[in-house]
Order: sequence, then C-alpha cells, then structure tokens
Amino acid sequence: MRMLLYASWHHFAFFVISIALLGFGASGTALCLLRRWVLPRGDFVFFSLVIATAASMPGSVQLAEHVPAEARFLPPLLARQILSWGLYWAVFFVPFLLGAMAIGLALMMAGKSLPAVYATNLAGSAMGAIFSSLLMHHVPPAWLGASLGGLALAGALPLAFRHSLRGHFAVFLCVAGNVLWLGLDPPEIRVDSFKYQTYVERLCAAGKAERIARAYGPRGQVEVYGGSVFHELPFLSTGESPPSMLSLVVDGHWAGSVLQVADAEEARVVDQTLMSVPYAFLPPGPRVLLLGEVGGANIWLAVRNQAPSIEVVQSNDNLIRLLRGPLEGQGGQIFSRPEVSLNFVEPRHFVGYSQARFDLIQLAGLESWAADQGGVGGLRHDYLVTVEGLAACLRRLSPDGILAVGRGIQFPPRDNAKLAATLVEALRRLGVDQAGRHLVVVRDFLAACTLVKTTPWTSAELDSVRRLCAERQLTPVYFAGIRSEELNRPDQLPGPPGSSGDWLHYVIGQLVATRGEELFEKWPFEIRPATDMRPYFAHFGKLDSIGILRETFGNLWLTRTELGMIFVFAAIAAAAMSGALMTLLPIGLVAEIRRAAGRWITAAYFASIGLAYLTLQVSMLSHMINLIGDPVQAGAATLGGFLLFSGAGSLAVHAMGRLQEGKVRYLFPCLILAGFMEIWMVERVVGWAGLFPEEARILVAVLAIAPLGFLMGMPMPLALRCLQHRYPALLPWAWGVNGFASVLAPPLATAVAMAWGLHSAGTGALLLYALAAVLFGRLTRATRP
Amino acid sequence: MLRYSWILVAAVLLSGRNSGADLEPDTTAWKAAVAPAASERVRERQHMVRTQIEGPDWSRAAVSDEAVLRAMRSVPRHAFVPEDLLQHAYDDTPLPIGHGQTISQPYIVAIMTELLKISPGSKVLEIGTGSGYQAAVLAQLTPHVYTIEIVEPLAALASEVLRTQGGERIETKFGDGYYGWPQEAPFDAIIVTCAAGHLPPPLWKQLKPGGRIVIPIGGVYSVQRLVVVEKTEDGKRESHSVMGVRFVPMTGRALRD
Repeated sequence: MRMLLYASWHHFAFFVISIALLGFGASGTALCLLRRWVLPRGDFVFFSLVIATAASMPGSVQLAEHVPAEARFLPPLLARQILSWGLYWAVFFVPFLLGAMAIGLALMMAGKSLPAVYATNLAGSAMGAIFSSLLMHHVPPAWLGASLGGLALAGALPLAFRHSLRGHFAVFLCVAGNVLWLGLDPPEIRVDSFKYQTYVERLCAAGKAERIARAYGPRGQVEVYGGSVFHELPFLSTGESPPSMLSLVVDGHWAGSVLQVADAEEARVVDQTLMSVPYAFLPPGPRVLLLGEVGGANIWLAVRNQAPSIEVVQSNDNLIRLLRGPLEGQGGQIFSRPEVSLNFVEPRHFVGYSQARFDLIQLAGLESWAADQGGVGGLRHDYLVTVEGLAACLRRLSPDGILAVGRGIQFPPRDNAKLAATLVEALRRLGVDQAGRHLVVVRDFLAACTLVKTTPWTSAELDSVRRLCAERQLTPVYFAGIRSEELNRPDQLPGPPGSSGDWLHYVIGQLVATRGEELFEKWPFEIRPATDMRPYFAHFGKLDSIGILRETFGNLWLTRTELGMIFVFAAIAAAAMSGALMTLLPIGLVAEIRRAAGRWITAAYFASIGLAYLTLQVSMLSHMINLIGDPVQAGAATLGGFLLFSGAGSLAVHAMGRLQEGKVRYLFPCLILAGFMEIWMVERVVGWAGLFPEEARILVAVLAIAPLGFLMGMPMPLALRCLQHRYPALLPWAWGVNGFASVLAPPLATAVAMAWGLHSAGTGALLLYALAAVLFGRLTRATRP
Repeated sequence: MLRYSWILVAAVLLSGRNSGADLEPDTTAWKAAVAPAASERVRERQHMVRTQIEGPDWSRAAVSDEAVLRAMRSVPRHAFVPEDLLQHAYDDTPLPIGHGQTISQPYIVAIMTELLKISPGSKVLEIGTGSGYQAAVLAQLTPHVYTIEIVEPLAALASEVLRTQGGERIETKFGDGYYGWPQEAPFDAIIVTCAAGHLPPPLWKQLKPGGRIVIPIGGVYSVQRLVVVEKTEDGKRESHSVMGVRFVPMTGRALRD
C-alpha cells in the first residue's frame, strides 16, 4: 500500500490493494480444486508456496514498474487504461494468492493443532503489522517488496532442512534469482505520469531542478527539490514575485514550498497572501498556533507580525527533521527560530489536550486547492476538521482570538461550504445561537479566507473588514450585515439566479439561517458537517449527483469529479462479484462440497465473521487514532493488538481441546457485549487517557482492545475444527469464503461509515456476530458426527 | 492603401524582431496563413466545430465569435496529435501527447480563445506552447502571437510543427513562462494554458491596462477554474470565473514522446 501510494493516487492504491487482497479468497478456491493433489504432497507444496510467495513479493514490484497504468481516464484510451489496471492488479494479486494458499494449506494439514496453527498465523500477522511500520522507517518504498520477500524467505529456511538438497536448492535458486534480478534491474517505482512527482522529475531531467533531500517513513516519502522553476506560494495575490523556493513533495504530491530567505524582510511577499488577512484584526504580538504547517510561509507571516510565540503542529516528523537538518541553511531555519515551538503530533490531539490560549489559530494544513483531493484523500479520516475538532480549536482561542482557514475556491463550492457548515455547527455546540455574527469570509479570485471568533464581530471590526477589502481588492463573501452591493466584486463568481452574491454567500446564508438540512439534501456535493463519527471532511461525492456531473461535464465527467467514493463502491462490487463467483465455482466442480449438508450455513458463518472482524477493526481504529494521536502508531497498535489477542483467543481454543456445544454458547453473547461496551465506552477512554504520555496511551489502546480481540479470535478456529472432522473438503472453502469477506469488509465499512457513521459500522459488525452465533449452533449440529 | 501596408509589414520583418512596446501592428494587411494540412479532414473539423463548439449541449456555453469558429475550422488539429491517436484528433476530449501532457479539448481551446477577445491587431502572449495547437489557432486571429515553452525539446518540436503548418509568424521562445516575455511587453492578452496556483506577478505587469489574462487557477493535476482577469485602465483587477477545467502544470505540453 505504501509503495502504491507513492506510485499512484490514493483511490487507485486503495482499489488495487482491495482487489489484490482477493488473493486470500481465491486461495481457498484454488485449494478446494487442488485438494486431492496437494494434500498427499502437503509438505513439499507448502514449502514451494512459501518460496514462491517470497519470490513473488519483489517480483510483483519489478513487474508493476513496466505496466503503463495511469490515473487519468480519457475516453479514447479507456480500454487501454482498464487493461493496464487489470494487469497491475494481477501482478499484485499473485503474492497474496500464494501466501494465503500456504496458510490455508497449513490449516488443512494441521489436524488437532489447527487452532494453534491459526493462532500462530495471527501472531505472525500482528508482528507483521508492527514490523512493517518499523521497516518503513529504514527502507525506501521501492525496496519494501524485496525486504518483505527476504523476510518470507527467512521463514522458509527452517523448512528447507526438511527437504534436504531439494529444499536447499530451491532456496538458493530463489535467492540467486532475486539477487540477480534486483541487481540487473534495481527496483524503482514507476510513478503515474500525471502526478506532480513526474512533473518534477521531468524538470530535473531537463536540468532545471534537482533533488536536494529525501526521507521516508510510514507517513510517506518526503522529497525536497530546488530550482528556479518553482514559484508555488499558496494564495499569493498579484504584486511582488516570490523569492526562490524549494518544493516539498510528499508521496509524489506537492505538499508545500520553503522560501529560501534569510530574514523576515526577505520574506515580505507573504504579506500579499490571503493568509495575512487575520493579522489585520489582531492585537500586536499575537500568540499563534499553526496546525499542520508545512513549508514555513505562515511562520514567516507570524514572525513579520511580531508574534512572540509560534506553536507549530506537524505530525510528519520526517518533514520537519529535513527542514531543520539538511535544509537548515536553505530556508528551513525558520523552524529553528527561538519563538517557534514544534510539536510532532496530530493537530486534533494537540488542540484536544493543550491548555494554552492563542490569539490566532490557523488551520495551515487545510490551505490547498484540493477541489478534487476529495477523491484522492476523501477516504482519509481527518479529526481536525470535524465539529468536535473545530469546537476544540475554538475553545483554545483567547477571548478576541481568531480561527482562520484559507481554502482554494472551487466551483460549485464544496470544501469551503463544508468548512462553513462544520464551523457553524461547532459554534452551535459551544452555545452560540447566532453563528452568522461570528463569521467573516472574504476572498480574492484564488481562495476564500474564513475567520471565526467566539465573540461576535463588532461593528467597528466589520468596518475594518470593509476597509481591508477595499484596500486589498478583496471580495466580501459573508459577515453580519453585509450589503448586496458589496458582494461579488471585484472578483466575480457564479451565483444563484437573481442574486448579487456568489454561491458560497448563498450557502453560508442558508447555514446560519436554518439547520441546513434542505441545503445538504439539494447540494450536488456532500457538505454536511463532518463529525468524529463521520470524519471524512474531504469526501464530497454524492451518488445522486453522478447524473448531474455527467450532464455538466459530458463524457469527461469521470476525470473532473471526486472519485474516492466511486472507487469504494467499485471495490465493493468487484470483491462481492469475484467472491460470489469463486465461492460458487468449487460447488460446481468439487463433489464433496456439493454434497456437504452444511455448506450454505458454513458459507454464511464464515462470511459473517470475516465481515464482522474487519469491520469492527476499522471502526475501532478511528477511535485509537484519536487516542494515540498518530495514525501510523494507532494503526500498528490497533491491528497488531487485535491480531495478537485474537491469536491468544485461538490458542485458548487449542488449549481447551474439543469443546462441547454447551461450553461455547456464552462466547458470542460475551463477544457482542464486549463489542458494545468497547464501542460506547471507547470515547470516554479516549477522553480520560488523552493526557497520558504517548507510551501510556498506546498501552491503554492495546489493553482496551485486549478482551474484544481475545474473544474475536475464537469463532474462526472453533468452526474450522467442526468442519475438519465432518467435512474436511469444506475447510479450504470456508477459508476462502472468510478471505473474500475480509476483503469486502474494509470498503464496506468505509461506505457504511461515510453514510451513517463509524458507530453504525461497529454496530453492524456486532449484528453480524449475532448472526454468526445463530449460525454456529446450526453449524455444530450439521457437522456433528 | 493595401499595397503600402504590405511594404510596412515587409519592412518590419526585414528589420528583425518587433521591439515590443513601440509596435503598432498593421491590422489591415495581415491574413492568416493557410496551413498545408488544413485541406485534410475538413468535414471532421466542421463537424467538431458544429457539435462541440458552436452548438454544444446545454451544459456548455456556445462559442459564438465567428472569427474563433473560423480559426477552429481552419487549423488542422490532427497535425498536432500523436500518430497513434490520429483517429481521435477531432473527438470531444483532450488527448495525451506524452510526458504526462495533453492537448486540450477543442472546446477549451475555442472558449479560451474567445475569452481573450482578440482583434486582428492584438498582441498575444501564450504561456505553455505544448503541441502548438493553441498558438496556431491564435495565429489565425492575429499575426502577433508570442509563445513560451519551458522544455526546450518540446518547444523545438512545436516550433517545427508550427512552421510546417504555416505558423512561421508565431514567435516562440524557450524559457520559464512564469516570467513572461518582458522584451515584447506589454500585451493586449495573455493566455496561460497550464495550471497555475496564482497569477504570476510578472504576467500581470506585462499586461496592458484594459487587457485580459485567461488562466486556469488551481492546483496542478487538480480541477482548476478558468478565470478571466482584466486590468482596468487604472491598473486594478477585475475577474470572473468561467468554468472548471483540468490543465497540466507549467512545464508546457509535449507533442510526442
């Protein structure tokens, strides 16, 4: 996934991985069909599969490099592009298929040790979750495949001794082949030619830019480029040209610019950016908090306004370390100034637990154009731009402090409209009745700047806003008492027929005057306030609007719309269809499965627990991100924790021996109860433990997961063991069904959470466990000897 | 009168490059060149103009400037697209031309040209030569077209294609379009055919009072807004947004790999 995020766009990475993971399900189908052949040769086939998995990991990366897959779908090239993506998917499908076949085969051969084997697999996966995040700190994305292949090969070494010469030869062949291949053709990631990275590389090839520094880690690959051709300074109005600058690229996307200036005077161009607007309304020497600052332009702005203290919050520590390290003398020194304090933590976590007050809080991380970033990053959870996150920001403001955010203008408005909706709701949460009196929105032809205060803007301050607009040629969008003749000039944007204002003015007017429900329903994009339960600020897509978009953009609608949601649904459809097809295939071809009495109950049971397991994890992960404050650590802790404790649960099944039906009848009620407690209590745990040191927060997260994870590890081995005795042919089939369900679960959980919230996804998972409880009873009866 | 005008044009050409601010374009003598490939695929081009530009579906504003429509009918778009996509040259779509670049959708070329409000004497600067197609269209409307491309091989290629297609009058230059072409400034109109995060201040300075810039504003590889920025006689800015577009960054656009 990390490699794909660098090579392509978020939604394509998501889609490719979702589909490639179908290899897990397909492994069950393959094992069903080959069962009679593989079982007598079990040891050798298992060994071969492990070796092949190890070889295929770097191999898939190498091959993918040569597949001309691109994110831009142009109608004349559609067939070619779809074919390329099919190939791309197939290349990454192979390692998953081979690896899952090895695990499935191990379960088939496990006999009485089946729960122990399954437990070992889960424990290994837990270690993999933790190890891979550590690996990403030290290995460039292009070499991750080779590293993981090496790890898999190390796992095969003990097996090689069981196969004496033949085994050793196979390992040697695999190592030699890979070393030779990697030596002759060192892995490189082929970056989509429509990504910013490719553009910069082209400039480098032409001698107009050069890469100055690079760092990588689980949060992405950061690259810094220098050259006279970089001019990007967000929201710079016409006036003076910016000084020379470095371009920051994270995972192949433009992330920010670093002005190569020595002092505040040389950085004067920042006064001409839209983000200088809030300083016009602040007292001298404001205390400033910059949430998500990237390149330092906003720090220069604060320095130029004599800010005595500037808190910078940036969760990507690699980025700041580069700026304070190798780039110290090239503009990065702004981060080392005495008045600047750096905090490597998620912005939401900082505002949630900081006790300090600020005169200006700037959501610097949101300063982008990002019209279609909703497609690229719309699946990402962002807890800062939620009602709760913005309310936390507002609580940190001094009495006359300002929360400021700049965002590029889009047409029709979505980012700025959703931001306004979320801010209005956040103000209401703080007890503000007339939110409109607390908002000022101005813009130029590039971007809109939204300013919020917890106290109403006074008429004197609003007069200042008017004066500033006149002096700097800004266009007022919204403030209390705005007059129609003030609207939409000098920079005109489309607006409702018969109105002098633009659409954003209309939207904000509706939001402050009503609850906005009618507006949310009618607006062609999703602009409902984001909340902690639906933390998808960058998700703007609406299925209902596809028709409108098609009418608006004609046959190019797909290239000009937010794609994230479409890819989620495409992944669901692909996983569901492939799963259904490959589940049914063995029924048609394998007589033992066709004749097995409990096959449909088996399918339903394993599908239920597969869906439930992953959906519950997705649901819990979001809370843990909020608690731990670092998505990478939270991911490793949550996934690793669940897998580890599930392994312990499976081991407990092994230790208990073959259970009678009566002894496990409490399992599912306990699991569901633990799940409900977890879902409803976790927010309180997050609130209580949020002030703990980082290590303690991770420990709390893992401990919170423990009981649920332990219980969730039991249903799978229990049922597999039932099948093992009565219908062994169903075992690989059940493994496959569970695999398909596990692949289907994450996009399905994402879709449910986008539509109804994370609680609904979690509750849905528990309902699936309730269904599994019913099915388990029937399964044990059907498989009773 | 016509005869004297030709003499004036010849004198200017013989004296070398026009020297910018003192240029007084002669509008009566000039006539757009007839491109060699223009006699090919005429019906397709007419169909393209009729269905995509002049009378598009309700979702697009029709281009009505007869001079622009004539230019779009005249310039052989197929001369500017890669060979393997020749059959799509008049389709209602941008086309990849290598290096992650595209040749714009015909409608976008036409509407941007119309938005420039070019008269035969206008002096026009294009930022991002790319394939050269946009410059060729502009050259049908005025003889004073200046175009800048940052990547030298691409600019050379576009220059060659333009020459073979009758665009010898078009002044081409290798360089960073961000800084415009100060030696030839001021311009009546500036067209930026690549994505820009802001309006480059040098371009604003090189625009005549009363002139206009048509520019896609937004992030690179994002959906941008096509914006018309006008400089009033007293040097102030007025702008209006036209539509959503998607352009490649300011590297210029390649014709072929």
